Amino acid sequence: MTIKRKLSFSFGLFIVLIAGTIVLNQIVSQKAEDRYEIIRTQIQPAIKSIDKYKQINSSLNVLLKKKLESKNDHSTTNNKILSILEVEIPNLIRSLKKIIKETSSKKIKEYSSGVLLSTKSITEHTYKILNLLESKKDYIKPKKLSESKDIFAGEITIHSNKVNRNLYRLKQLLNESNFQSQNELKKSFSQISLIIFIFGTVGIIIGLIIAIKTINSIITPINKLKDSASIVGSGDYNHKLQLHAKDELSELGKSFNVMTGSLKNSFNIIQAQKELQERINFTETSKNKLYESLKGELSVEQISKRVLDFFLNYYKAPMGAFHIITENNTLVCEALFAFDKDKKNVIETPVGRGIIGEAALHKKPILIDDVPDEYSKIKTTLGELKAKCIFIVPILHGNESVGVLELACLTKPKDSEIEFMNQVNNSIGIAINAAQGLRYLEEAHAKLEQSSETLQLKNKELEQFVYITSHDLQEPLRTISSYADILEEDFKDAVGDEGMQYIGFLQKASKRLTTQIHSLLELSKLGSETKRGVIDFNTIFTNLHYELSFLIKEKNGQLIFPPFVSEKIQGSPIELQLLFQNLIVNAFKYNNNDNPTTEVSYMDNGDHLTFCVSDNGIGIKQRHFEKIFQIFQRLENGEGSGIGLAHCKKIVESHQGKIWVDSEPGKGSHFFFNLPKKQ
Amino acid sequence: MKVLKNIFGISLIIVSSLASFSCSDNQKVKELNFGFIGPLSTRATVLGIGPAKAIELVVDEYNANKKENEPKINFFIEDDKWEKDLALPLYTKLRKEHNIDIVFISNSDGTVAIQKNIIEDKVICVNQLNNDELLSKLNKNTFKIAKRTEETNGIIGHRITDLGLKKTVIFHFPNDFMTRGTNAVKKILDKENIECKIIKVPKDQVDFSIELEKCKDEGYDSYVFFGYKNFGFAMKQVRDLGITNKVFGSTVLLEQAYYDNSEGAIVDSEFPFFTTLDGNKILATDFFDKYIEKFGEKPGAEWPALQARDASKLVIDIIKEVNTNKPAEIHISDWLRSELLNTTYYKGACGNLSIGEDGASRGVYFSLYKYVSEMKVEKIK
Repeated sequence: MTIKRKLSFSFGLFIVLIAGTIVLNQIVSQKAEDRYEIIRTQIQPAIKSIDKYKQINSSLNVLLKKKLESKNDHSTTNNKILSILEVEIPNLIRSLKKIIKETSSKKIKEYSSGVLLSTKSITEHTYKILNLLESKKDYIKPKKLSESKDIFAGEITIHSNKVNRNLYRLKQLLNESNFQSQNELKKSFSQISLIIFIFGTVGIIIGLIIAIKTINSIITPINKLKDSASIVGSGDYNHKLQLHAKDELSELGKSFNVMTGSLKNSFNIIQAQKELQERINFTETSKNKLYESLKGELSVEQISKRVLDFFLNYYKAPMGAFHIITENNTLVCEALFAFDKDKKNVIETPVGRGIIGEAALHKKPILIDDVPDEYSKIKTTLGELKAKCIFIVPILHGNESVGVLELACLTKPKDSEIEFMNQVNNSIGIAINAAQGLRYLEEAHAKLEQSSETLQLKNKELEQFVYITSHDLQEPLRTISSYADILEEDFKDAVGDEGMQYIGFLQKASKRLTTQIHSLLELSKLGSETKRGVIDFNTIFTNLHYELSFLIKEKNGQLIFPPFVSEKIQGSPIELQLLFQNLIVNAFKYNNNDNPTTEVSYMDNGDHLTFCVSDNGIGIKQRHFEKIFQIFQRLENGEGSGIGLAHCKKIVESHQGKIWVDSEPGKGSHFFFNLPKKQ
Repeated sequence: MKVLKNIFGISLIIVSSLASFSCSDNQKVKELNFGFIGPLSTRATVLGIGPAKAIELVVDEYNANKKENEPKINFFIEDDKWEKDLALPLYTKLRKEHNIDIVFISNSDGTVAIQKNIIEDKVICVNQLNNDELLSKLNKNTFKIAKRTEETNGIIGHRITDLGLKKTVIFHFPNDFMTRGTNAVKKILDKENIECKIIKVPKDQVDFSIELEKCKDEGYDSYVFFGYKNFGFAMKQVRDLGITNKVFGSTVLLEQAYYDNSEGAIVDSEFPFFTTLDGNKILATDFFDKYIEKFGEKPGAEWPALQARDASKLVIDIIKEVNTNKPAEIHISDWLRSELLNTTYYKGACGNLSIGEDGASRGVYFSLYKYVSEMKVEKIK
């Protein structure tokens, strides 16, 4: 039986007992109460009324006797008699009628009725006497007095006696009834006590038995549960609680066992998680340690040594080597431990050959459990150790092998340790690759330095060549030009018109060549001889205004400069003035407009200034936008040396700027160039 | 859900109980108003002042000791100057101003005058002074808790008979009580063949010399004056005329003005009266002790105050239970009437009282007294 049922049964029984006690008690109490009410409201008042009745009956007799005997005091007596007749007797009659109505006893009814009848007669006869003896005068009338006395001695006395007898009997009956009722009342109280005693005793006994049984059925399993809890608490999760009863505590025991099982599982999980976390922490720490050792600009050799040292320590390997794959696909031993040091950098193994070559080729680690006897022994002062396991790991950078780590271990690496190697492999590969790259970069830098020096030398020679060439070409050119002039002046007739025409061509070509040589000289001088300083564009524009005023006037044109340029930059004032001058002169030169106009404007773009030289000239086709900045490149309508814009480009670029053009034929051109504020 | 239902059920029961308790509390009678109409001035003040004070004493005593469940009683007094015509206006005034539930009235004619109104207003009327055949025929709301007029005044008739007097003249005031008293005496005297002459006098008459002289001449050997203080003059005039015969009076003889008007001639007069000797001596003595303590003096005549004490106390003893015994649906006047009619035995200062079906009490019996000196009387029998 379950505890719930046991307790419900116990309480139910207890409640039934109490309810039974209450019901029986109520029944008996109600009976007693009814009896008590009868005694209180019927019997005792009736007895009291009868006593009073007897007393009034006696008083009336005494008063009537007195009235008959004393003629002088009849008035006071009359009042008293009237009081009895009018108030006392009606009240007593009423009480008697009540008794008759309430009683079931025939005898009481009979006696009461007898009293009432007699009382009526007494009352009537008393009134008769009062009427007969109204005044003192009536006493002296013998008839009236005699008649009154007869009435008193006769009817009144007889009925008075009857009343007394009946009252006596009535009282006896009422006393009996009172006694009987009080006995019943007493009996009822005894019954109540008995009921309470019996039910109370039975209730206590049953209660005790149930309580002991229930307590035992609860306490025993609870103690077992307590002991089991202590056992489990001490760490024995395999302990099982054995409860055989079929109640809630047995269910609790089962739940306890389930809880113990769950606790065990949870504990194992926590333990596993803890170990995993420790391993993760160790792995992370190891990684950090490894990465820390590979920080900085390290050489391939340094990396090789550090990587080898780390893994020797990590795998507790007593012997190992680290090989790097060179450009010619050969493994070169860069680091050794507990091995012949002389073999460093000497051992070279082509990729694909031997076990390490295979590892490098196939990019897969090789683990050899069964180490051959001929394999190197690990020597100590105490003797020789034989490696139990050879662990060969190709170091990868991306999908390429960059090296091979070779370790002779005393124990086989765990899966997690092999996994660790996989995790850090690529990082080592990156480090090696970076070190190799650094090595290549250093080599390339050295080569570049060498090339730069050669180039500078060649450049200088070239400039020298250009200068010398240009300078040397001027002399024969002047000779050609001079003799052409002489021919024109002195042999005009001799050469004829056709000859003169040819001489003219010769002079023009000489002139053009001279100009080109001058330009070439100027170009070669650019950037080498100019002084640099703070550029005030307002000064440049003022100078140009004066210098180009003749050209502008001749062209009937208009040149517009910005009103004021507040920004200043570092640069060559001469070169920049030349830059503006070339662009402005070109603008007027290639302009067929009747009112050629050139405007210089600028824009501050933050870190640089952008200038624009705009004209309303002939314009340039888009396909020539790049060509015009090349040396000796002239367009179809070309005048000039074909060096001006190349000159401009060189000046702009020497100031770390850029030049470009936007134009449309027939509508004019816009030459833009920007100059950085800080150079 | 089950718990919610239980809570809802219990709440409903509590709310219903509170509501019913509140309703029953509202239906409770918290206050009742008593009115008194009686002569406080002009004439017959002995029938007004004493009773008014007696009722006031009873009411105050009740209010001071009443329990929480018992209603408070307010008491309002009006002076009718012993004029029956003032009864109705004064009653109307009391109803209008104080909404009285019960009115105590001394004057028999006044009692008749307010009959219609007390029925309409559902007011219980108690005449605490007189109780005669006429009053017993009035409506069901009228109660008489007092001596019986005919019986009381009949004492004089029996006295005249006892003394063997032969020719009696009765002067009476023109009101119901005195007329009935006169008739009661005449009836007894007629039965004994004693000559009896009745002279009805106007209420304000003070000179009775002519009538008295005539009676003297006619040889009347006993003079009965059923009326108020003006008959003091008559008594004086009796003696002034040299008449030495027996003089009888009514129940109101013990009034200072009566004595003053008679200039002492009232001494030796015999009249029906009631003192502590005639009733419940313990209760009556206790009442007068309290009366003197409260008002500093005894009432002029004991019986009006004692009767008023019994009448008011009897009513109050019933009213005490109004909130316990009265069913809510029954009007208080109906309930009070029923309770008064059920009074079969009440221990009063005047004696043990009962109330008959006609609303008239039994149990107050007057005796014959003699006026011995100023405001002093002596019981003859």
